[in-house]
Amino acid sequence: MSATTNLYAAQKNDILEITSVPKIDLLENIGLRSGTRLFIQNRYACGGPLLLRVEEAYNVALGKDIAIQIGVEHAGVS
Amino acid sequence: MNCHNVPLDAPILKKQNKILLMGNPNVGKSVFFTELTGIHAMSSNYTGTTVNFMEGRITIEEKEYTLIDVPGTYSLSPSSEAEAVATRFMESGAKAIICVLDASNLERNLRLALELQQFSIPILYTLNLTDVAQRHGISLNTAVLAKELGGPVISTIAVKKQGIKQLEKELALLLKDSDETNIQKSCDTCPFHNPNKSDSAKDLWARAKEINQRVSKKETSNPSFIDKLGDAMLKPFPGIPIALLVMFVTIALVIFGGRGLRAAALLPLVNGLIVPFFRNVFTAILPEGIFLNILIGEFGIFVISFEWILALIFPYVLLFYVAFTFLEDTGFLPRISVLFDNVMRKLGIQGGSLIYMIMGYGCAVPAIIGSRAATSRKERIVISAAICFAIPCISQTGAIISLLSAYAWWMIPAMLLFSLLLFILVTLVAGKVVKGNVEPLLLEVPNLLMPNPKAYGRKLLTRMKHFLREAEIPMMLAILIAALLAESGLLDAIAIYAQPIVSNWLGLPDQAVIALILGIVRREMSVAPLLALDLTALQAFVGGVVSLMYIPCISVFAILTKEFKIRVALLISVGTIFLAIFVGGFINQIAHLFL
Repeated sequence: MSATTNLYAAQKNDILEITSVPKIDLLENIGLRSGTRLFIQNRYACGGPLLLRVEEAYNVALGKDIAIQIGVEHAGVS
Repeated sequence: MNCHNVPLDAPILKKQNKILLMGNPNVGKSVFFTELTGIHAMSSNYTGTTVNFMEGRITIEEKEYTLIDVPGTYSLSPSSEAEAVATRFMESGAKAIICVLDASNLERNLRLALELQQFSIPILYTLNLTDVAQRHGISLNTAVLAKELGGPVISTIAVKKQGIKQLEKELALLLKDSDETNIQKSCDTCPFHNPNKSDSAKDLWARAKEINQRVSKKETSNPSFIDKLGDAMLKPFPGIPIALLVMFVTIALVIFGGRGLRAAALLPLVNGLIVPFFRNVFTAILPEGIFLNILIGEFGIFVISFEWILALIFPYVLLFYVAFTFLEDTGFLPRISVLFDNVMRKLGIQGGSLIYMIMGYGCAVPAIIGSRAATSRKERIVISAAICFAIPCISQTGAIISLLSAYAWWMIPAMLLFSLLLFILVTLVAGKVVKGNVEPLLLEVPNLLMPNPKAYGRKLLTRMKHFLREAEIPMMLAILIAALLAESGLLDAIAIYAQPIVSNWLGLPDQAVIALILGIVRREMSVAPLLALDLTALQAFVGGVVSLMYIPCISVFAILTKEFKIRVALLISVGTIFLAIFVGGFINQIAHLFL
């Protein structure tokens, strides 16, 4: 496993594992918690959100302001 | 949260024979509700369609139960007003729960199922969307899942009615067992009250993962055309061009299709058949006078109600809902929320708000109620303000199109542009004025789906029935007011008092005051009376602008009061009146400098 970075700074299509999340109920409830695996499917210009593929099961759009608070580490390439 | 702060005064919470339909958002609960009760609950392909509960009666083994369609929730730690409703229902207890699980995304759904188990209420599990799971190469072992969950599991495709009969059968067995074992429900069984009974969120996730690994097998599958299209629509290119094209085609369908339908079918029907029929009947049986005029005069109830409701508004409403219902069921709306989130953030709100704003083009009432799924009060107020100030409902849009299309083709795009500018301005100002935060986008994006034709037809029919039922009484009331004002001569007296605003400032004929009076009852009524007046192009445009921004109708005022208290409703209503008259007059005065 490589060093931790924030989710917004991670590369598109890299498989990532969440290492830390801010205390937001909906994040945990929707399945974005420590240990969740995901990859960035799309990135939108001008500070737009990230589109994440979570656990190869579902898509979540996540605003930049939250994405920069989520710690991830590299876990492979999709 | 604990058992004691549950508002148990609500009669529905006190009912002992409740069966709760629970599950994550957008897993098909409302489809089950419709199938089991026969009451049509609106369902769509995005999260947050059901923001309040619906109840219906079902009879099982000669016993009557109340089935509740509970708003979708990811967990019982609510993160929106809509999710809090779900928690309140769980706290109030129930005879049984039908827990709907999304077969294409089992792990997260199982986490909620495990959380529900802590309440010691009998649960029947339905594994829904199995067709989508199959398309994604996921196969599930329902027998093993039933063993793991300790309760019956039924495989279903609710929109195709597959598995519904078996569900009814299993539910009857579950309720019978429940009655025989007579499970004692009290605060002691509630995990909010008894922390020892509650597993931590971490444990629940771990257990959900473990079960999912045991029951599901995923094979590599080639994505279908619809999956590829769904993914393409989420990429900035071609997603944004596709989204703009879809919106352009929808607007064209409503404007040109509505005009065509009106001219080819509805106007001849109303003017050639319906109105002459009533005119002949009433002139044959009633003497000339005020009463006859109220029925079939210039503003006669049996003239205007058909001309306005059927010929003027109905074609646009129908075509709007034909397009909107389709887009809603495919999963198009969350896609544009993601694509345009960056633009919406610049305006001070998030992309998810777009869903409610687009709903507002149909009717403001469900749009404002739907915004309960938004995560902050500020966001809800900004959404509601933008809808009231800048987004005309479809009935009003139909009336504005009818008014402007009689003059020049460019007036309709000019009005659309004006509406867009107004929307930007109102959102920016409301975003600055209203205190609080707007949360960043956090939205589950559903799979793109092709709507089931039967479910689509049923939903469209329900919407049109609802429109006719909801519109009929207020419109008839407005028409009666118009007829009485016109026939009693009161309209002329009011017109004299309103002359400084209506004629001098707005540049409209004196009689246009009737539009301002009736517009309070229904939004389209702020335009419809203008059609009968001989207006210039400038007057028609000013009339359209005033109508667009004018006071929300009585129903919208009531819902604003209910959702945000009367202060917000009054502020928005008074604000719309002042701004409508100010901007309408400003355009008139500026235009006169050049014309």
